[in-house]
Amino acid sequence: MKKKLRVKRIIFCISILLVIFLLISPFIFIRINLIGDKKITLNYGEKYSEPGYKASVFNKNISKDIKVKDNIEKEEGSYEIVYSYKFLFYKIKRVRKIEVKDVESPKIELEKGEDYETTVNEKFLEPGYKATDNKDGDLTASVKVTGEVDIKTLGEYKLNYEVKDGSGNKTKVTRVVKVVKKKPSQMSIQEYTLDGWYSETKLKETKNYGNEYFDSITMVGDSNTMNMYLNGYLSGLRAWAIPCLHASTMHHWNINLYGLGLQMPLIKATEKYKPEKMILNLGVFGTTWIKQDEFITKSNEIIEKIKKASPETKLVLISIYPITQYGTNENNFSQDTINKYNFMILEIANKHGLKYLDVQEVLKDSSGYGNPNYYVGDGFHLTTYGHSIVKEYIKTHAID
Amino acid sequence: MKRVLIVLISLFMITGCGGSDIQELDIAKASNTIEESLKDMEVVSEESLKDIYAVDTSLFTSFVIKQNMEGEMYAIILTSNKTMSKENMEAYFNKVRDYNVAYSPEQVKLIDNRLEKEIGNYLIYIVSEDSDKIYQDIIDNM
Repeated sequence: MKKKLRVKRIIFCISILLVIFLLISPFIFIRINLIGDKKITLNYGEKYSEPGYKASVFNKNISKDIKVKDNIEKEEGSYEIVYSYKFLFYKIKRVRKIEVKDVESPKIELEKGEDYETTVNEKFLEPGYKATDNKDGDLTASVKVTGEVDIKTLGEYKLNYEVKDGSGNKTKVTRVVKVVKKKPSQMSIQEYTLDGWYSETKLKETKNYGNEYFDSITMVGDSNTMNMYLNGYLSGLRAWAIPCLHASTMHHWNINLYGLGLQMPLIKATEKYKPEKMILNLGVFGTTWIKQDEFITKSNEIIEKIKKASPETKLVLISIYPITQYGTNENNFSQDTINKYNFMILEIANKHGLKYLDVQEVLKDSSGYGNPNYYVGDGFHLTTYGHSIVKEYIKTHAID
Repeated sequence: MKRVLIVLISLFMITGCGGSDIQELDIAKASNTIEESLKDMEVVSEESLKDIYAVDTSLFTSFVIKQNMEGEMYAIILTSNKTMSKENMEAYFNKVRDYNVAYSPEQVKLIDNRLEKEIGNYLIYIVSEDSDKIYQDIIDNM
């Protein structure tokens, strides 16, 4: 009797356990796995992108049967995404927490960039800035600017721009303002000078090295170089020229080698005769016939070609000669443009480790234009007097 | 016994259960899955990413970024600095976008609608008309 009662109890217990197992089995065998983080923080305004989920029962994929419900809103706060699956009277669910929070700092955009140059003794005007925030919108009016620029003293100054949004996110950016001396390209015709710029590149005044030195130099250029030869100021053996030669045309034009009675491209002549010293005039026509970018590119290229053709040649770039106030019309020359190009030529010489001969400074009068005493009527061809000035300058600004 | 049973069942019904979080991604496997849909994918070299697109790849623990001639792309990145990595990739796609504005305007929309997902420390980007389906394939193969 006792034994029978014991068996009954065991059967009851097993039945109870079985029932419990059956009741909880859905929670064991129905799996909802969340892909990615269980808690995700979204920046204010950021769109939620569901990383995904995988659901299975006994290895059978039931992902398509999962119901996804969320209460996510744009405003800051805590939200939930509920992934649920219904089975009989069970509801199996997983929850992903979403926190919408403004974690993004405002952005400050500096007009004209973080590095800004201004000219000494000119009025400094704030180049401008704009601050925007993902939540608060335009915050430009809230930007605090600290720091000062001493416009009378050359140097670097820092201006700090700070702003804070409504959520306390801060941004600080710095602008470095360089107070620099006026560039020659910004100068008026009258005040133009290259003094103080690339002083190691510009040939300095030397003693007069005389005709022997001058006769050792090959001069390459346009009609002014040709006329220098025709007027007897330059040996035919040293005159390589053709009218209108400039930085671009000198790549492919045949030039006159007057003393030899030959015509050939500059690079071929350089390769063949390997001049000891060469003064290269990049040509006044380059200021009007081609664009500035092309002038720079072609100048750089011709210098590299000459260096390659004759590595031992001491190459010097000479300034484009100025024009008189009356020499501007026919060819659309402009003294202001010539000044800008001469500064470019100085920079090109510096870049290539060459010397620059600033002959333009002695061909001008106090107006900043070519001195009419040195020019013929067209205003850009030199007279014999003008050629003598050039020759004298070369002899007294020797290469070494 | 009855009380225990009621408590047990109530507990399960209230809290729910049955699942875990998947934070790991097999990059090679995911890459293979993507390339079942996107054909002729070629690796965007680390030099290009650095020199042309200014992407700081030192932020990435491991990564694969590929593209094809059709303008489709994908990137799978494991990183410990998700914020910076996302900024870098945003800049990368902006540069790719700028290039396409000039040369293949039809690709711009595709880039703008790119799929961006995060799984743990992994970032996934897919530029394709089938990006949603491809991402679902990655999940199904996990």
